[in-house]
Amino acid sequence: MKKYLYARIFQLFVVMLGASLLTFSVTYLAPSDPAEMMFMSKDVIPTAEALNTAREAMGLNKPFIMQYMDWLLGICKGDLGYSYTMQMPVADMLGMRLVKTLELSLFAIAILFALSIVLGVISAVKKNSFADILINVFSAVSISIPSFWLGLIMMFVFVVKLHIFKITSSEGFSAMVLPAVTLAFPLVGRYTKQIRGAVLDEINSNYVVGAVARGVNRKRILFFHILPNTLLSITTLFGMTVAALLGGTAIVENIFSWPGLGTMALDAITYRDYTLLQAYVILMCFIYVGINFIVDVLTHIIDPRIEMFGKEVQSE
Amino acid sequence: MNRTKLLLFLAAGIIVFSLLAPHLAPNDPYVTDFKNILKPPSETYPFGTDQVGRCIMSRIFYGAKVSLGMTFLLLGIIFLTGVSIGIVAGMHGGLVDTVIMRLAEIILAFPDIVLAIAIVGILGSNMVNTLIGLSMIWWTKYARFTRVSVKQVMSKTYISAARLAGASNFNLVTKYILPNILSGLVIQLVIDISGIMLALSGLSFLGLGVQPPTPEWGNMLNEGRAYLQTAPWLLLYPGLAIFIVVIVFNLLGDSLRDSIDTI
Repeated sequence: MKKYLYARIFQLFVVMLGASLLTFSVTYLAPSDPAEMMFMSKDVIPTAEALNTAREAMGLNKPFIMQYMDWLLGICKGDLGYSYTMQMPVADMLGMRLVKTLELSLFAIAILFALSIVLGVISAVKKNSFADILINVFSAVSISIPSFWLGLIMMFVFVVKLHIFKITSSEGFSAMVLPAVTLAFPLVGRYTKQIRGAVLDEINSNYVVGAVARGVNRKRILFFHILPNTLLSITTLFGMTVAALLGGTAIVENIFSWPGLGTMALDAITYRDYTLLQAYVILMCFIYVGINFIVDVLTHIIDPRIEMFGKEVQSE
Repeated sequence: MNRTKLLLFLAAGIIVFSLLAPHLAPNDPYVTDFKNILKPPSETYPFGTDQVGRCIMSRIFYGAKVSLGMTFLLLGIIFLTGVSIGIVAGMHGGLVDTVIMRLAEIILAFPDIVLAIAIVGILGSNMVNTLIGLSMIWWTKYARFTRVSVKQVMSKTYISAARLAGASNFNLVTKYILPNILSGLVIQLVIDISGIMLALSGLSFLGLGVQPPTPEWGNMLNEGRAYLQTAPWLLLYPGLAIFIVVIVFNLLGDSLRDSIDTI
């Protein structure tokens, strides 16, 4: 376990370093000049001399690799530069927005798990029943519906027609319901299918048949034996789908004007604030690889056999 | 198998429709009619008109060509680049292999839509940059898949036999390796159609893809957003169009995958 953990941490570090270089290169290649953008944001047309002084002060005259090192050292110190369009340090801005995006994502994950566990278990236990067929259709719809369309439709139905939610408020629990459902919905189908399959595998296994034969309460078997054993496949699936969730926040936040990282990034593009955009990309990447790291470690804790199997293969 | 045939038929129908759609459209998708702005569905405008009085049905029909055309173009680009890079990495091995695979690993460390938003946002929003941005990300999947398959095939004895018989690298690839891995790759392509379509229209919806006035389903939804309360038909039809295409290709992909699994 320890050896695995060290190797995995080293790999995480290398990937993060590579990702930071890629992020910096992409923004470095941007056609517009950050110094000029800074003056433009203040509605000043700079003289050539002023521009050069600013470039010097911002470190833009240094070679690429030096600029990258400066940026990377800044990240390590928690300094991500200054956003001229927002008139505040990028790190402060990012913190505020991250909280909103996390709120939304966690709520969406809660909806996702609750809904798909219920649907997955029902369709597995009542295999080939009408309910199972209905849930299968629902899954296919869920996977295929564009989230941006779903969001707009829900807005039309629940805000415009039924007046259940307000369109503008971004405070409080009720404001979060529609965005979170929109974010969760496209993934519900995949999770339901996965859970259905995992539960079916368990139901047909010997220990469950044995427990049923011994007269153990069926609900007890389901909640204390079958569901805990599906945990591994759900955890793995979470690692595989977290990218869709993180990317989805940009679209969902945009539809509902949710003041999170996604809307910030799109504003940054509109105003050509590449310092801010850069910070968004690297933060999302770190969150993503971070979550996948945790998922990998968790799967090893849930099922240590995976590691043993790996060792066996190596020793052969 | 019947199910697969039906879905193949539907998918082919969608592709044929998208090619013929411009000829079937009742009106010109670019012509504005200021006397008929935001009109609900009627006989002349079966899906209603938009904020400048353009026929929504005609825009959806023309949009089919743009949306599906871009999807298949992108699919072609990532397939060709991914498979070629994968073959090079798999056959060459060594440093080339390591560098390519590390690069792929780094690109895959980003949630794909996040990186696509950044690349397109920086390059500037238009159709070409969207294709560039997404192909820079998605070649990785096909490259990795191909590389693994190539390595598996390369270790077979018939490859050694072919080499001893004097087969050139080019011959090895075209006569021995590609025929072996192609069916798996084609199924993967079908499975990916829906995801690519959703990503493309999603970026257009965010204003980072096809730009108006060119009709594309994602940007039609974006343009229609402002009229959510007054003219909901602006939002209904483009979304429905995406949904239908995506669900058909999703089901087709699933059913092809299942038929391979059972063989």
